[in-house]
Amino acid sequence: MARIPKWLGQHTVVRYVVRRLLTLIPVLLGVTLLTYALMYLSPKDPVEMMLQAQGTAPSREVVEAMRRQLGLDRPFVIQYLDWLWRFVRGDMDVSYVDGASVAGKLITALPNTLKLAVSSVVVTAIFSVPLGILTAVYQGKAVDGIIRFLSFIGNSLPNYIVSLGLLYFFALKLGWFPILSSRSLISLVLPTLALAIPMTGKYIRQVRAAVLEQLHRPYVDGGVSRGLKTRTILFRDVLRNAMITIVTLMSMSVGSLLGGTAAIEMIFVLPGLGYMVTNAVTARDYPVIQGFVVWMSVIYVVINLLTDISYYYMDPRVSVGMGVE
Amino acid sequence: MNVSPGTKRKLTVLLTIFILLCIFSLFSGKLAPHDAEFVDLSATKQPPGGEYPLGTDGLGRCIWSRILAGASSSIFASLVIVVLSMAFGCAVGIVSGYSGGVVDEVIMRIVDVFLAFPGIVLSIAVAGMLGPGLKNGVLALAATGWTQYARLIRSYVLSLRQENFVKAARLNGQSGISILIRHIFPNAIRPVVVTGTLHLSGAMLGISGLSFLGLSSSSAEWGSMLSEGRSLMQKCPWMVLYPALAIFLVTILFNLLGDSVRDVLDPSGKNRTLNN
Amino acid sequence: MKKTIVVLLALMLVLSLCACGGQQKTDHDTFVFGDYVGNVDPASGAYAWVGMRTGVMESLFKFDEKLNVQKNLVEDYSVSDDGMTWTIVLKKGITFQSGNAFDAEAVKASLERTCSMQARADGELKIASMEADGLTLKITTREPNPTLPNCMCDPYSGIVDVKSLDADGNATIGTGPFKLVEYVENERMELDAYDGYWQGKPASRHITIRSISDLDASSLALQKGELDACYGLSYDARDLFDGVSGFKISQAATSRVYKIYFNHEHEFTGDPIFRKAVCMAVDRDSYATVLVNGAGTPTKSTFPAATAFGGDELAANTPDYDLEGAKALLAENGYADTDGDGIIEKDGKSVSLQIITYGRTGLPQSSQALASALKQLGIDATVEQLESTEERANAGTYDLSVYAEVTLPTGDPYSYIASNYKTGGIQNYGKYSDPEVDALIEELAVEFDADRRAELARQIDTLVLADNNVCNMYHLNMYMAMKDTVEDLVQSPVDYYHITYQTRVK
Repeated sequence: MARIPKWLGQHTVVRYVVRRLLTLIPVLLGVTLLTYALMYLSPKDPVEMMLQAQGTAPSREVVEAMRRQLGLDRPFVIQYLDWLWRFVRGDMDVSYVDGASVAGKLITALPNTLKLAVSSVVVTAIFSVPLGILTAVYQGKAVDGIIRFLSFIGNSLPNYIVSLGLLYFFALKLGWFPILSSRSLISLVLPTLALAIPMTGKYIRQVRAAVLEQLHRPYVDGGVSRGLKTRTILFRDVLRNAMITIVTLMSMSVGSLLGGTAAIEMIFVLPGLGYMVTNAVTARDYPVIQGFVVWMSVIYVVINLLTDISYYYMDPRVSVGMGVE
Repeated sequence: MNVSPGTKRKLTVLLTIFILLCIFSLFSGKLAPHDAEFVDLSATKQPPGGEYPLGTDGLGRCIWSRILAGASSSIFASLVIVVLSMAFGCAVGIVSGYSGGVVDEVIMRIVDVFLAFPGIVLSIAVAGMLGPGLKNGVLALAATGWTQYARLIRSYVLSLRQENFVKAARLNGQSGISILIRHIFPNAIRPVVVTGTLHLSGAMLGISGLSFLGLSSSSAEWGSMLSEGRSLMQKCPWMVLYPALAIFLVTILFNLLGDSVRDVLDPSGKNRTLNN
Repeated sequence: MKKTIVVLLALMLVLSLCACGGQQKTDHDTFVFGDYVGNVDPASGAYAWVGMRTGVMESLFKFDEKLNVQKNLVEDYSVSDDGMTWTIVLKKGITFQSGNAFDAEAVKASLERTCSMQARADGELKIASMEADGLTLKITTREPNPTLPNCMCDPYSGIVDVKSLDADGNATIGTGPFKLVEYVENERMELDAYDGYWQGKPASRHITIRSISDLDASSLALQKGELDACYGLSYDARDLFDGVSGFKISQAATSRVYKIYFNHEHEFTGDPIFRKAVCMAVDRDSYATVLVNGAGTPTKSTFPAATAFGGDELAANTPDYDLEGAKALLAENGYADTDGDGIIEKDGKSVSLQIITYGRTGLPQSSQALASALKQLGIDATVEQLESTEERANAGTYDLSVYAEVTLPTGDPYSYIASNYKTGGIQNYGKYSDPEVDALIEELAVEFDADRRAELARQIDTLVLADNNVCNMYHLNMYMAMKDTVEDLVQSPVDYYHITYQTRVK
């Protein structure tokens, strides 16, 4: 809901934007502190995980020396403030595991996640919008039931099983797609499908609900009685109004997709942010984890803001109780 | 808003099936022909048939027995996740919405933090702290699932606060709590229940996702069975097929139930939420 | 007419798509290998073996298949009488991939760099000072270090050209047959052949390493032919390649032992008779062949029988798998089910055991199999799978810990024995303590004679196993799966050597 107070008016949207962006600060502080606390409280620390990966049992002196090297022997608050101080100056530190810069890792991983996020949202939109409208318009008929049932199927299996199944049938048996990604568009097809299938299932129902809600509105009856064709009403008004809700919902999905989906990235070898952060959490690679949650906080605030602004521009007559705050 | 009797009937049927399933899963383990944990290394990877109706896994355990035994884990785990999220989320949301002002702002910023916080980090972190296992997986998923309820009920509380009948009640001297219970809660509960039933299927798949990352228990839980069996998917498809079928059927039931609940409680779709 | 053309075109499109499928064409100059992708710098930390595996880095010494130390870049070496100074003569004719000279000065610089960056390397090599003169390097250690050549096999001692560090300060130039050309984190590595390699021109012209982030996807890729070989596949996937036409596997027994630690401070597990009964519930032969699908070599001794330090003869008191015998043994010693609940008791206390383990392949399964067998003995055993068992093990809040460890990381038994069997050893979680064993361990620490070292290790293991203080189950076999046209890709007992200069697809 675009709660732009009336006194701001349309011309001070900039001020509104700035005010919303300022909420990023408490969110960032809260999230990064929470992350640090969680990692700190968990039983193992980066040094132990590193040495466990090597499979050897080093002497206590070696372990302590490595801890000191990484500054892990200092109190929790000091460690966090140290990280914060560096971050504020633009330095996201380096990974404990391999010494590479965190910012560098984020930048390298981002394109893969972005590719998948964009392609899966596009594919989802292409399929869910028309099908959702169809089920809404023919509500209660056979078409409605069939499509909705199919949409359930997409949502009923864990994504890694779907992915392996897709790989087995379409890549190995039929040979239409490569198994290992080869930086070409065709490598994106299966992972996009793996992501889009459950999302489409979910959104068909969302679109259906949004369109249905519009169809029950009085202006639709008004249009019909005025002699307008159903199709015109549908595409001109209903769809436009329904889009608001649909966009809101999709924006949340995009937000979470931009955090990457670890299972898909691992199976299709498209190492994006999901894979990076899963490895980082397992290895207790604090700087990388912090970098990731910073990124997610920014995404979250920015996407909420963009959605609200687009919302406002799409329909100035905002209703209470709908949408993001 | 009038709901057709056909829709109501459908809900009754689905609800009955759901409740029967829950009750069944409580003792389904006892119906198993074999001990679900019994390891028999001389009977590994048997295809379905004969003594083992659905075959055996890599440790020689009967798949059918494990599916029966795992029913309660998988189904109840999902229920618990939803109930926990709902309870905590509603509590937070109601407090926030009704208090308003600074309290509301602060609480909503905290909710923001949790929303912005990547669920995957939280799940792995919780599992790391508490140890892998179903109970801890449930806690981890509940910890990431409560925010949708908080937001939802808060916005409802906020809008209801402005309604005339609430204002009238206040003027009449009714206390805040009694207003909450008598007026706000019954109205706000509908979208919450809708969200909850739709959350069920997501919760079930969430548990499977955790076992993919190696964070689930090794007891007979359908998601764990899937991740244990996936390396043998080509040679022994029954190890994956049947647990997947179980998850599939139950999730479809949850989805149908959720949609049906929504059709009855909120047919106009007015109170649709974001995270369905 | 138009319709026919459209139909024909559609058919052609479909057919061409199908033609894209099936087996990949093999390029004989390029070798595509599924393996871990990481930083090739030996001093980079946790994954120092990447450089060595991919044929970029080499160390002065290397292990053979029996885990004996062999000279690699070294012509000859000797150690002074006091054991503190080593004289190493390097081979002639070796060059770095950058073209820079490989001499004692370069080796000294490389070792200094690694020791300053890696506390573990410094702690193990114990180098005090070095003198370089042409191809002769003199190393003086801080204290007598009989295992210096062994430590020089460890990947962290890969020799790098410190004059050719990359922009981030990583060492990417070594003496190996392949030179790193491109590294995309978590995804791939591209390597070109280095024709100046000292052993000869590499058979493959180019190597591509693809990340094995998901083992099931990787085995699919190998089946399809997108990979020529793959390392580290799950033991279940072995059936897809072993004995299957078009593929072959190369297997080796590693020194990683899967074993059970008993908590010596707990009531039941502190009793040698009880421990013996538990050992009788361990069906190590089936675990090794069936449970991990042949990825195990059963063992009763701590070290592999194929090495000089192991063999079942050391474990005279360790029983074979015998459930009936275990039941009898327990019954004779005061363990009985007096209240008919299916669980045995001793002195009124129910025998219930907590087994802790973690997620390394094979461990959860072995633990579950063990728990199931123990239940048949009337012991209430529960398995707890943790992210890591160290904390619980240190705190002593467990009965059995099922664990896997590399016993000969440097080809020498001392480091494992000191941390696991010595009183107060870091990994002596069971709190096992025996002064006789401690004395032998101290002797082992300074013994330079290889035969005597082996003898000491055998004596120690015999004493440790006498009362079934630990129960060894099996050693892990690692394997690599590959097309049957692949040459010279052999699984070694230590996971350091994969690509060689002769590795190629025929």
